[in-house]
Amino acid sequence: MNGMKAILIRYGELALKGLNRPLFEDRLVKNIKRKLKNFHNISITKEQGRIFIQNLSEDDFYFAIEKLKKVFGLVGFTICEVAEKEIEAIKSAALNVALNEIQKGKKTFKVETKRADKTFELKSPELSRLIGAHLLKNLADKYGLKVDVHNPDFEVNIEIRDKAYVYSSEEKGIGGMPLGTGGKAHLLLSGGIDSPVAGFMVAKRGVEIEAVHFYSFPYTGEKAKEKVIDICRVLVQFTDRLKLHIVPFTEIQTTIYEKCNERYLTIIMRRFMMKIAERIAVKNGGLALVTGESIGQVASQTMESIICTNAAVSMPVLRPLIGMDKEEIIRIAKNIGTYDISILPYEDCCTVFVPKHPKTKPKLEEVLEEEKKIDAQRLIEDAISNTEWMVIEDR
Amino acid sequence: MVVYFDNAATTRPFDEVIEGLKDFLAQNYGNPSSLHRLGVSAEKVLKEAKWKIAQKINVSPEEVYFTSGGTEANNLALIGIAFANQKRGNKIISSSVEHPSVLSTLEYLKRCGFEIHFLKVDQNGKIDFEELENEVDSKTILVSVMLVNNETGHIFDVKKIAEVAKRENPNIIVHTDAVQAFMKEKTNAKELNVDLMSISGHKIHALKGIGALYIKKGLNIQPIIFGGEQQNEVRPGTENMPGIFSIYKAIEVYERLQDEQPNKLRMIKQRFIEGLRNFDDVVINSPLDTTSDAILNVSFLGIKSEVLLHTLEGYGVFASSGSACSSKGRTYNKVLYSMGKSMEIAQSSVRFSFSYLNSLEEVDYALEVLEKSLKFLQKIKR
Repeated sequence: MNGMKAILIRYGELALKGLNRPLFEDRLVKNIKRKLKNFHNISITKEQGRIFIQNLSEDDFYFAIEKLKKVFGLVGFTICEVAEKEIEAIKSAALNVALNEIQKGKKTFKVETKRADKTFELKSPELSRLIGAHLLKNLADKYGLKVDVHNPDFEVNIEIRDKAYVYSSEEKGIGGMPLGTGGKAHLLLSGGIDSPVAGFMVAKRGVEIEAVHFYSFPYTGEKAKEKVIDICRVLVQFTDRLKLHIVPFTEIQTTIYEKCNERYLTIIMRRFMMKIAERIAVKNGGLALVTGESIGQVASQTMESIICTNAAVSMPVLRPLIGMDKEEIIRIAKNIGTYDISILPYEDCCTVFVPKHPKTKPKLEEVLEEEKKIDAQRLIEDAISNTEWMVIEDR
Repeated sequence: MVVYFDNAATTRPFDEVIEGLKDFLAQNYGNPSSLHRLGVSAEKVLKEAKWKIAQKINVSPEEVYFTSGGTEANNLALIGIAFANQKRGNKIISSSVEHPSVLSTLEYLKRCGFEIHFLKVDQNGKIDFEELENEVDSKTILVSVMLVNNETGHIFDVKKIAEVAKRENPNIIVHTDAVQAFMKEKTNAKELNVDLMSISGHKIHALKGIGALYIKKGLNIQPIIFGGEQQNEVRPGTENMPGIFSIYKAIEVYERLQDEQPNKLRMIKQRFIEGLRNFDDVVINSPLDTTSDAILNVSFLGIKSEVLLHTLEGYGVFASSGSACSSKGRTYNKVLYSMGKSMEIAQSSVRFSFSYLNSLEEVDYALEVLEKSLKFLQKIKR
């Protein structure tokens, strides 16, 4: 028994959801179960506004925690030592818990006991006193540990139920909403720094993400495609699985390049991307598009340019990075782990065909006029019928 | 048709290597340090391989140390010599176009307090001997210049570099990174008058993960990794026997091929250069007389390296865009740019590198494909 651990999960925001709440909770439990599917003997149960994971061996526990830190909707989790309902076992579990808090620099404590099992030999205050004394005896001299019942640095909580559960402070989860509770959206994923972050932000609100990547061989190579797949592998650590659509884009790019005014290249190219992504979204049950645009970052992301790209589709376009500075975006990219992949120096679809002097304030009428020079309908049909897709799963 | 013209990146192991390895792995799996028969049998292969390499570069077998590759050989040479000879001085001289395994190691030594001077290299791939003369002083302990540049194929006059350096300061130790030169150019350590030389297996149709460093007897060098007593404790660790076997075998095959067709690489390169004369806007960065026969670096002005590379790839022709440097949205070849070539040349260079497994027919096919590709890419040329 000793060495077994349990994890108590809190999911704050869900409490606000009224009648939908059970739906959200069930989804979260399902997501957690899926994340922990490789741990065979554990039990995952929902009770009284918390999710309880039991039967974790010491070894499994450390693997499980890393997985749980990436589950959306999980606000905080508490690590419990699980002991037999015997004084000696509880003492030793409490000692472990206290030592763990002392490692974080904490010095004062109190013990709180809750007794669901009223047949337990000691009453709650008695057990608290007994355990408090045990901790002081072992830790006071060595670590300067003191009792402070009013304002302790940490609490040692003991719950006597089917077993004795001993725990202390809560660790932060990633937050957000359980995946799958917010519909589905299609992310335009280039491989740069921004789009993976945009996908992450939307997924964090419970939205299932599919990715659409535009591939322009020979202007971009296999490495650029591999790079996008690697980014997806990072994203699926959070989303569990992700469908990636790879759209052949060479003919569209070269046609725009040959036929249209150079200054409108990027804007027209982006409009094509939006139209194709929208078509793919409709076919796959997506309700919105997601892009990594941030106002003013480059010529194609001025307000005027965004108006032009936006007009290409009728679906809502979510732009979670719209008000963020590059530094903020980079910080998130580093946190989630996509940054180092994104900065690999391969040509991507956005870097090869760059006009020397792009229009920073394009007018929609002019753009539409330019677009008349090409057979957009046929190009889009061709691209969509040759689109390949793959499903990337968390391993 | 697959035409592999990226042999300076790595080579396909010779069939003889692949076949020989199967038996070697299954039967000769002993640890060369073991005292029993299996150990002795492995040790024999180890000795044979050292002898083979020693013979190729004109040194003694006990002066050859196996490493995990060219990178480790360069690291051991530079770090091992620098720290072991610190009392004599702290200055190291190298060139600005060395392989990253030399450049980054020198950056590390700089952070450790050594003074590093990088010699400039001109458009013709030559260093300025006056600069070298001026830089060598009594504090200088080491000069390290590559024999063949991996991007352009330029052959450095290492013999003269060693001569000038040692004339100025007889205690100077000279290292050369001969990874791209071994089996292709003259690598006679005595003639070049070098004290250390790095080589690598996978550039000559042996396995990846094996290289060697020649360390002149009596040289003061310290190890960079620590362990058992293998290789005089200069490079401990159980020897990579499959790698060592492969390098031995590859040299054997290479020698036979060279006997059969001594000028094969030159003929390939010559044919390629002649074919390129029919193209417009082409700049040859690897002239026949001053660069290795194995490397041909060409710029196709106005066309981005990586884009041409992928177009060729589409037809089964594999080449390299070289070690790229990215800044302000531009990707360019670092070595060419630091040699003083224009940004236009540095952004559009492609490296074709040849081996004995290539043929003249492959050159013709590549030229054909190049013509097609360039015609197609003219569309986006600016």
